[in-house]
Amino acid sequence: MGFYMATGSAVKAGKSKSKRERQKLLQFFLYISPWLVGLTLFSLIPIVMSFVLSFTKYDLLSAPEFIGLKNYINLFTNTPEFSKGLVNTFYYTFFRMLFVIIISLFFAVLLDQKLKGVRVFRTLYYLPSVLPFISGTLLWMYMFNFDFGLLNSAFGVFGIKPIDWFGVKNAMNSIILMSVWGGIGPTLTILLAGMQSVPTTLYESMDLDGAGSFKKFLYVTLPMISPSIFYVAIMGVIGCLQEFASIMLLTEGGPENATTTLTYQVYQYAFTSRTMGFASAYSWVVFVIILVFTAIFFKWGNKAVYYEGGDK
Amino acid sequence: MAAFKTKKQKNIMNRLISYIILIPTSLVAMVPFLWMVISAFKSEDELFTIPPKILPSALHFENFSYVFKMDMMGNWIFNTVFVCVSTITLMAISSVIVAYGFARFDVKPSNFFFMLLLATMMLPWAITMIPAFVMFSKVGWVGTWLPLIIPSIGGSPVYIFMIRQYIMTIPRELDEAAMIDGASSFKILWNIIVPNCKPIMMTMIIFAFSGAWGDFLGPFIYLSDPMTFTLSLGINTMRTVTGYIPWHYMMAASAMFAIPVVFIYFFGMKFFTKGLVMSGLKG
Repeated sequence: MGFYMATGSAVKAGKSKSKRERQKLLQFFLYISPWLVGLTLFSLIPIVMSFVLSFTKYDLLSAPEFIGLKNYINLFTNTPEFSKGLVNTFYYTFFRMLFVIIISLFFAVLLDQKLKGVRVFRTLYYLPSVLPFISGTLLWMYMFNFDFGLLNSAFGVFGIKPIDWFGVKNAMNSIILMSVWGGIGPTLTILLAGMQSVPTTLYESMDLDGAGSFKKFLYVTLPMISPSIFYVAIMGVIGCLQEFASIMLLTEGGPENATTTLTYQVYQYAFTSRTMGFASAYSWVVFVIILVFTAIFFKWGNKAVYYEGGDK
Repeated sequence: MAAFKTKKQKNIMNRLISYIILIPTSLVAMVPFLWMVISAFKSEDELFTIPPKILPSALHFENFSYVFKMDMMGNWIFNTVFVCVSTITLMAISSVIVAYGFARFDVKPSNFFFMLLLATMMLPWAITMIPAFVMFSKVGWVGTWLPLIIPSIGGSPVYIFMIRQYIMTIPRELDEAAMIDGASSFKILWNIIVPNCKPIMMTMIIFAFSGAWGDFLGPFIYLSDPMTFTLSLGINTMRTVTGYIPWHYMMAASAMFAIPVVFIYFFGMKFFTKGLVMSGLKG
């Protein structure tokens, strides 16, 4: 009798437990449903749609017309500015990220000391990135002006010849200069936070070995904050590979396609010439480039980044 | 000789060198910013004098009043505030609900969906820009604010992640005590989680505000009637509508447009820094 009762209640408990589990599952999906709906409507469906559109000729007015691989063939064989856009995009991404990370690292090291006024400096370095996009862009447009911009006027005082900031040779570098100025703040903040969480005991043991500050940076700081560097690098690269808003306003890709980028061309094909099918094919190529890059980055990052506890 | 330097002396040297680097570079970083403010107070003639005068001879406040009196300025301000407030409200509500789901319901598929969430942080928008436009134009939303506002119903992966990490630090005992009292999971979210999440919600709102306030591409792609423009677009029309560019007015407008975000940054600096650091944490 006792035996029966025991199994009976165990079965009952098991049942209610699985019921509770099921209820929990239901609740989980209920709570994350806003995100799932958003993801489906505004990311997944669009991605599929973009893939389908990339095989069509579509101008938004008449129905899309299936043309097979024509868009892709056209892009690789018949679009001379594609290679220019590819080179520019990588040039922009590489130098922008290089400068942002090196400069941010340098200042993060300086600010990671017990100095008076550290917060003031941090604010000053951060402020440029707070500016709304349009304010910052107009401001630099004004400063880059050939005749009366601040940069050329200041150079004039020192007897340096005015520079044609938006000429074929300089335009891309000018855009990089502007975006480095705006990009240092957040990167610096993340790296600095990484540095401040490095246990001081590590530095103390280096002190005992009589290591200088550069050695400490190289053997303690750098490996310890490599996850932060990896994070800013990967998010930065993904953003840079798609940069075009500032280019659209400052140079419109010119002169002579000197500043055209992949995403800017996607934008133009889609919204200026309304060739939605071709632009979709183009955006898929950009998408794949970004994916490949991200994958390489992760693979390389897994080797180069030091995660505490030895966990990969 | 150098070898005899005491540690204290070395420390002072270090500090001195740090300041010698920090002070001029931080000023250089500020120059464009200051230049914008200074130019906003100049008369138009003063902008073009060669060699340039650094400071204006008089403070031309009329530049600012000109900007305020521009034809559609009232509309643009209203539109921007409206879009901002609706976006942030939707984003905040959805993000905290989803974050709660991820933080408190440890069911089997939770991990998979969380990884998916992190992966979508890296999803390039270049791929969704065109089909989203096609979709919104099919439902007749192009030209309205809906494409700018409605996508926020899904929350944002970064904010969901941030809030989820924060909820994990709220003791589960609080939930359990409420559960014993018979509170539903939604009641727990509303009465326990949300009130405890105030700091991280502040962080999120500050971030979302500075993003929505300065957003340029979204309005640029979807809006075409100047009456519906947000401030970003409105300020941009000052240079595109006529061939002539009134730089002093544009700098005044740019500077004023920046004031709310700069103000919020100073006001919420600790939240700002925390948010940035949180968004950079690994899961």
